[in-house]
Amino acid sequence: MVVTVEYTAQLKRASGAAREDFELDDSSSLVDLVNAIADRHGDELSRMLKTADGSPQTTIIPFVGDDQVRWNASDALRDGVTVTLLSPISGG
Amino acid sequence: MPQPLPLNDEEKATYEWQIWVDDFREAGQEKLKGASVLVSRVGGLGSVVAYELAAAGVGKLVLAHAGKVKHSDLNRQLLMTHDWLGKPRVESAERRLKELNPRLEIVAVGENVSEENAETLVSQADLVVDCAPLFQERFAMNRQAVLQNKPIIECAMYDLEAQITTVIPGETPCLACLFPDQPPEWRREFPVFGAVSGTVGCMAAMEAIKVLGDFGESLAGSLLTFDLRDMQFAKRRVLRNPECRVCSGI
Repeated sequence: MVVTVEYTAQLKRASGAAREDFELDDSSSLVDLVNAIADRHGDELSRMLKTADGSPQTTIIPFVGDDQVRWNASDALRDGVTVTLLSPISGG
Repeated sequence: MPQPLPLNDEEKATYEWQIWVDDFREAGQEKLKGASVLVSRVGGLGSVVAYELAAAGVGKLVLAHAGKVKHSDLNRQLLMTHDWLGKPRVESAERRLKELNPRLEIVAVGENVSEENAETLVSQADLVVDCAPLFQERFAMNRQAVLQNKPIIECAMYDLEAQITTVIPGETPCLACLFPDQPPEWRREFPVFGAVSGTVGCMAAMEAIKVLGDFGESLAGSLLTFDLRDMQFAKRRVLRNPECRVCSGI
């Protein structure tokens, strides 16, 4: 399947792209998607997305379409969806 | 929620144009007059929030912001002025707001919100608008708002992007549902334009006015995100965390 990823804020800056496509196995999970992103972009983006033990950062909020999904959702991905990764930001 | 207060003739004249709003009317204006709002801080976001709430006729603002005005504030902190450089920010904010609305009651606190003062600051307001840059401040405010059952508007910005949601304790996700931990990559200083903070600030003020005036449809349970670089807006559904350390018990 092909999944489009949209990045926000610091993630967009670190990736150098607002959105990009990833081709994944049909059984892939959100964690698999994060691993694919980290593999493509390297350390800076990987640190933002993953903890030291390799699990997704709890402060990045994943959305499929306009709906928030849990990181451990087993059936969140399907061909053609857009996944938005929302980066934590604040006021100032 | 606030106790409505009757309007005098000057107030009826001042707020005439918004009293014409069909589902707001004079009853809504009386609610705003009786209402109090905590705004923390009064920087790029909070300056605009406070200014719009003062203009709209909210009766009392509690402003919390430490520090003195510096040059790098002036691209976005619209209650700060060049002639106030080196002087306390919260005094500049109070002075500017009083120029606009001399009827406004202001509690000006020269401190940022912390675990130590959050309970007292939140207790003085019917509603909170979180405009703070540090997550420890935001978490302290969020915890007290939930404990004291007060709505809190959460707003944030970065570059040309922004996020805003309205938290109704016990009904919607709170800040700790969305961000359970301190974000490791967040830094207090970041790129942003004043026109971005001003846009989010106006939206946050409108959210506060709707919640206090009990009209319209707030962002409760939704997160509005936008990027002014390409004018993409999205209203997204967000989830409560059943294991939230702050609000799971209510």
